Amino acid sequence: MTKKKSGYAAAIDELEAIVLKIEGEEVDVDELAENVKRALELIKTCNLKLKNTEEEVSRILKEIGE
Amino acid sequence: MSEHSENNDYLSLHQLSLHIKDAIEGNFMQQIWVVAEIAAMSVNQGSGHCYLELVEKNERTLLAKMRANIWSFKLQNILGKFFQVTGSPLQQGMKTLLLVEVQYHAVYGTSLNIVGVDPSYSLGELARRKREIIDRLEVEGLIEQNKKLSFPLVPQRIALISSETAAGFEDFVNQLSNNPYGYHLELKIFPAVMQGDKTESSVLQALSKIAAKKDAFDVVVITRGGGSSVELSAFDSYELGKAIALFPLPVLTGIGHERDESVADLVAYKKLKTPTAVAEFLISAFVTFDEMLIDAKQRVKELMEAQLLKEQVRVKDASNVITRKSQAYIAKRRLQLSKVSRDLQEGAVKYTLVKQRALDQRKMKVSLETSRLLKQREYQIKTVQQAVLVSSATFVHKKQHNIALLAAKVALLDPAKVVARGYTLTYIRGKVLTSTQDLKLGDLLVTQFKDGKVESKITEL
Repeated sequence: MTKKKSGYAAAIDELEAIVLKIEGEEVDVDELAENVKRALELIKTCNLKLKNTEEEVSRILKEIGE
Repeated sequence: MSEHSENNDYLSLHQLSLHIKDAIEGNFMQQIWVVAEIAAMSVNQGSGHCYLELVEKNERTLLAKMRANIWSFKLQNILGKFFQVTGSPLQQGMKTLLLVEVQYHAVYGTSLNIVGVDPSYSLGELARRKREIIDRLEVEGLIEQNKKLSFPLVPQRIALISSETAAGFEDFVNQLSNNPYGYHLELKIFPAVMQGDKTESSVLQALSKIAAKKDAFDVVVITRGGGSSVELSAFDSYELGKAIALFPLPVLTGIGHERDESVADLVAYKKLKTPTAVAEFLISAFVTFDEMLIDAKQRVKELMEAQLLKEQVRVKDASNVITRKSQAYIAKRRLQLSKVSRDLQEGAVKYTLVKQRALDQRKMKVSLETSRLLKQREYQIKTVQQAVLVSSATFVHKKQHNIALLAAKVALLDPAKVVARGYTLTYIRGKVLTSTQDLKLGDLLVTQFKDGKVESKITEL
């Protein structure tokens, strides 16, 4: 569950896999908290990455705009 | 031979040459139009006379060759007229229609004095030759060769073939260096002679120099200031046309001719009329690229924003689903759990009841059994008690009897009784005297009798 992946694509893939699993009710209760915890971590990661990307992009765009 | 000499039957060489001169010049009294190719041509710097070598040849052989001259006083007139019409100087390699006088000189031999020229013949000839060159280039597939190259998006490194003394050179360089957009263009100049009969070889040489380091350049520019008054024929060369066509970089020409298009123009990647037009073309490529960049930037921005938005939605969706689903999941499990718990409770109650009952029964049984046992034991104890009582009474009786016997015995032994029966007891110093051993003379003895005491003194032992 806590396998260490890196990169946005890996994170969102894992997140959506967890969503599918939870949606399909394939998780044990024991695993649910772990899954949700992991999912929240991933959401945080994804959001952070998106936010950073957004800032980076606008910074770059601004830079080449000058 | 001797016969001739004896009769004086001979001429001197000079006499002969005079005859020849008469014969020739007598036959060519008038000026004659003659078609000839100029094989060589030079102007004597001192005299200002122009000396030429005229030839006629077919494909392989020389058919005729003759010296010719233009006297200095005629030279400027002839050259000027020729140039005016053809746009090219009279020069080596040209086919010309010349008005000549045939001359014979005793020392120099036959020669032609050129007094006039019909430029239109050369013009037609030049055009025909040019046509031939173009046809040949076309057949060899060279006209489109350079145009097939892809033009660099940013023609930044420019190899310029020009003459630094040529008109418009400075303007061209300035126009590129000080363009209003501030684009930086690297201009490397390969000097070449841009007019006269050295032009072709000079430009070819410059081209081969550039070809040797073609990776250092994006584009080749051949320019020359000008306008219609400048000769163009040097650029109507097959060799130059081929070299430009096969050049590994795009070649731009700006060799300035309003009306006409040279072979070089024809095979170039792009022909522009003037150096100024070349500069504008180069700058416009920069502008176009710049606009492309701005567009691309805008598109990148839009795409990035769209992508970011999409990803944000994706994450948000996932987050929502997880929240909703895991809550529902927990609620469901909780329901399950409470049902199980209720079942469990009911089960437990039932179980307890059953067990309670069993326990009660057991208790009752134990209680009954206990009281039964107790009674039994009670009875046993009572029995034993009885037995003890009986046996102890018997025992006591027996003991009492024994005691009574003993008492009777004792009573028999009592001194008082003994005395009563007539026996006496003798005491000394309070003690019964049983022996004479310790007695001394003078000791007082007390004798007990049945009816009193008597004191006596030992007087004799």
